[in-house]
Amino acid sequence: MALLDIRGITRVYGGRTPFGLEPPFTALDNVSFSVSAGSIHGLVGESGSGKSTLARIVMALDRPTTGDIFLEGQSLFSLPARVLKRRRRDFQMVFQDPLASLDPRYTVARIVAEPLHVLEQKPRSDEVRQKVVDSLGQVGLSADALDRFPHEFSGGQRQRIAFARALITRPKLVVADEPVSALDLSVQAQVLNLIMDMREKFGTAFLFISHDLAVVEAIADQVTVMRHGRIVETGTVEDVFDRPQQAYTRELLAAQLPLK
Amino acid sequence: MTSAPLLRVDDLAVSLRLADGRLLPILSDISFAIGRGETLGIVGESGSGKTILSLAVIGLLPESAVVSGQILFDGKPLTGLDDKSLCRIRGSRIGMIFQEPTAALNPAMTIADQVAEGIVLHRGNSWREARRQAIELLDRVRIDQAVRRADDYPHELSGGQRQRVGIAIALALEPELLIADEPTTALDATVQREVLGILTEFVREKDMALMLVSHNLGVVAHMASRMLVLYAGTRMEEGETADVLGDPRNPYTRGLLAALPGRTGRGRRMASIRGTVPSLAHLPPGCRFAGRCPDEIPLCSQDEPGWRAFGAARGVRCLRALTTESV
Repeated sequence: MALLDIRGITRVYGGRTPFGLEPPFTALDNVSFSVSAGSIHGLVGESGSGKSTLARIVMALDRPTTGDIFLEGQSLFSLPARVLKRRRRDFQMVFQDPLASLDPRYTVARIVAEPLHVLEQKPRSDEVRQKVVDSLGQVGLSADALDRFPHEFSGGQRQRIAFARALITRPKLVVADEPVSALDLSVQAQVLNLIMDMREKFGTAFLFISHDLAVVEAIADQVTVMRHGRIVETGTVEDVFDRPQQAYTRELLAAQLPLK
Repeated sequence: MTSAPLLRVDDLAVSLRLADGRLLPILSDISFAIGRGETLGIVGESGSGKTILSLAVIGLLPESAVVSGQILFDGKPLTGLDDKSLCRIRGSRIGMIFQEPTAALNPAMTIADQVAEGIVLHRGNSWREARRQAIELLDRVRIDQAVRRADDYPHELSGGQRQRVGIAIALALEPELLIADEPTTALDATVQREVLGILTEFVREKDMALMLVSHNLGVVAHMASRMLVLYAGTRMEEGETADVLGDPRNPYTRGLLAALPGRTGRGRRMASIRGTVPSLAHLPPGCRFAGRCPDEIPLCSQDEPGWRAFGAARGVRCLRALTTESV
């Protein structure tokens, strides 16, 4: 059984809204693929392809119009809200812009500890502190980060804090939406290595969303290419990059600007 | 280069005066030249000073900036020009494309009017005639159905189309020098290719000089015949693009190239540069790359190494660069 099973997801926006009738827009059209435990699954596509909409639905932050998401065989959208909340320890998210996704008023200690609230057994405060220190250590930050605020860190360090927060509940799946797009080249590699380390150490699976094919090629095992809300092609990184079957995939690959 | 270059920057330094009166150096010891029909790629990460450099050349630095050194455009100094004379050059002889087309366009003006505005101001054409030229330009930068879209407002266009409008505005007066600051960073790869193609056309057909600022080595390799690498406010390496990429002499340039995804093969750990870019207020003593450099020796933290020219129009800032060459 796959860790994550995305089955026939369609998401239509518009229609009857609080502001009246809007022309319906199909952001996702019958999208299905699965992510196995411990794998890095790259999701590539250009702006408007539906990648981020899919990420929100996988995270149960938005509901599909039709279709369902299964995590270890369990349908996320048929769970009662309280049970879904408990389940969140197993799937966490990292966003593109760490400055926007880390609350500027909170210390790093509080930010990183936040997902612990969803645990059934709430850890005692000294345990929380220890978990936070451990989680920061795993992403290469020391304990003196604890009482500082997000603005005191560089972009790469902030993204590490976001990963420390996502990883503190030891999730089985992390959905990472463009996690390195805002980073400079010299720190981008540090964060990509971190993702590969986490997968190796804890068996965490990643749904890694990116518009940058080179980055996906470098770290993913499986790749899904999307366009206009539909899947164009899905397969192993070797299949998709070495033997692309679809014209659009070839077009994307040809648009890359490699150094000779 | 055969004749005198169109743009020559000599020993440029820019500092910002802070609220407490102190000066914060942003750029120092920057020199380079761009000839007509030539593209210079300027590579730098965030905090390298590349945007301040673009603004310095087009004379749009904030009031608090203190500038030394010289910027010569077509043999005449741009530094120290009054606003009126600068305005005559800016837009007509030097154009600029910004990274964020949404921020660079006026949301309350149709796209044709924004392109036409410069033509009216600088050439004294009638609005009617300028709009006609604007539509031609919009067509030239491949806005589909330019006649029909001319009266659209920026929000009605996609990001790629907006950037094309930005290019049309910059190119309306056929500037001799175009400064493009991260012109394709906000665009999808397939659109990026097309936008770069449009710029290349103008460089070739109009003999335009292009100063292309980008953090993307692929874009620079694709477009620029020469490149300049900036780090933390100064230049680290310069030369023909193929030479710099093929035989980088500064460890920072080498580190950037090694950190490109795919260099180590699929699923393998990537080479990274340790640490982060220092803030300009807290530069390390000596070489700015000290503390992150894999080839560092104690001497590196004493004095900042000077710029050294060598070979065929190449230059490098690194104590060890030319000693390793002689080994």
